[in-house]
Amino acid sequence: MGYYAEPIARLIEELSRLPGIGPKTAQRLAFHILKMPADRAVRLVQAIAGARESIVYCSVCGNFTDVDPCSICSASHRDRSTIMVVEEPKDVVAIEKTRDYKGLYHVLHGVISPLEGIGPDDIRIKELLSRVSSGVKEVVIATNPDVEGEATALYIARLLKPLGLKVTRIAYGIPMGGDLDYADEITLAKALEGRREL
Amino acid sequence: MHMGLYTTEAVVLGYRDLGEADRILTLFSPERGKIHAVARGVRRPRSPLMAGTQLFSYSKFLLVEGRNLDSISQCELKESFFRIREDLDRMAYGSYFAELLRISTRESDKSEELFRFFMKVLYLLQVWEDLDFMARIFELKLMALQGYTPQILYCVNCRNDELKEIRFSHALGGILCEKCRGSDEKSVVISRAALMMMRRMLKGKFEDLANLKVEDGLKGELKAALTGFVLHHMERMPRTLRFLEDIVKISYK
Repeated sequence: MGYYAEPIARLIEELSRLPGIGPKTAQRLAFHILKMPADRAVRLVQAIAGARESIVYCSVCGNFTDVDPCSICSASHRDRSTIMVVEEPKDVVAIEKTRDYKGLYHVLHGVISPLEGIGPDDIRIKELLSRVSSGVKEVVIATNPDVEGEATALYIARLLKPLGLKVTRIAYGIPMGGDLDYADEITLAKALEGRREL
Repeated sequence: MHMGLYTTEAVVLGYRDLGEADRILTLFSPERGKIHAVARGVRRPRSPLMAGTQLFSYSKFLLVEGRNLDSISQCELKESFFRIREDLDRMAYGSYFAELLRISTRESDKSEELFRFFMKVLYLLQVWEDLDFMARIFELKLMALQGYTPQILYCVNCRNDELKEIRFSHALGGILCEKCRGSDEKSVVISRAALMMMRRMLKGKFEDLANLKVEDGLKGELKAALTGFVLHHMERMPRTLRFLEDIVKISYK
């Protein structure tokens, strides 16, 4: 112990708790911060504190927002009859970037995982159920195409279909710019199953 | 232990996320039994390890021995069993079967017989109709393969085979006659039909039991006896059992 002055050691320790940051990267970031102009370091601190203080979960869709309900849920031009279900707030950003989707969202904040003992009551499925009663016609399920995402999608579909809603799942297939040769058998089979006439 | 490469066929019984993009897999191999191995970068899209490392995938693995954990260098998918993953009930029961096998098997306790049994279960699970009944057969046959065959021919306590009121004891691992009911206060009463069915399930080939029609009352008895028996012998409560209960609540079939 004692390679670093105590405040530096503390900074490194806090940084290394961030995802994807190992001890070496944490050390580099810490020294970088120390060499920064003082006002930039202050701005960084303020940005972190400001985001933590002003960001809340949207009471409707569950996404991160600084106004409640969030700007998507309160936008008048968006299609209120369609809800897209995603796992995490970052998935909303990914879909919004396409500019192709005009409906609303529902963020689950997690995914059903039988292996880890995470059940439907541990994520925001009840909240989804209470939203679909008012004028919603279609629910698009956009969870990840892995075991947990599929289980979550199938669970939600079984829950919503008896209510007479149209429940859809985003398509599976070959990534754009991808190479058939590198795609696995399941993806290829799914892509074939979902083929479309040109 | 020397460091080296080895290849083995194995089925994926479970996994747990590690760090940013890695996963620790639990594999079950005929030659090496239960193996824990790291699949590096497997959560990134387009990882070549992705297809072969999904739950229930049966693949050929090239592994590198490590000091703590082996790591997967390559894998080639042989059978994905994706029909299990596509159906909520099959996926839930499959997860339960995989977890029971995982907790009841010690590390590198190899058994080809157990491996073949589990592969057969996965094939049958893709098409089996009455999954609840299938789970009871799995529980009974798994316990037998793991060396805990319950005594269902005569009273486990006094060897009496003239049975009037029959009870099943989870703790003693078998049936009790009327006189011996006191030897396990927690034993459950089972009907003669349930006892006969258990004998048939234990002796019969798994696939030959697929077309049996079992009524709900009998299934309830089998569940009380067999699930209780399995849970009594497991070191911990299977997590997947909760999901099975969640699904039963919303099934509309």
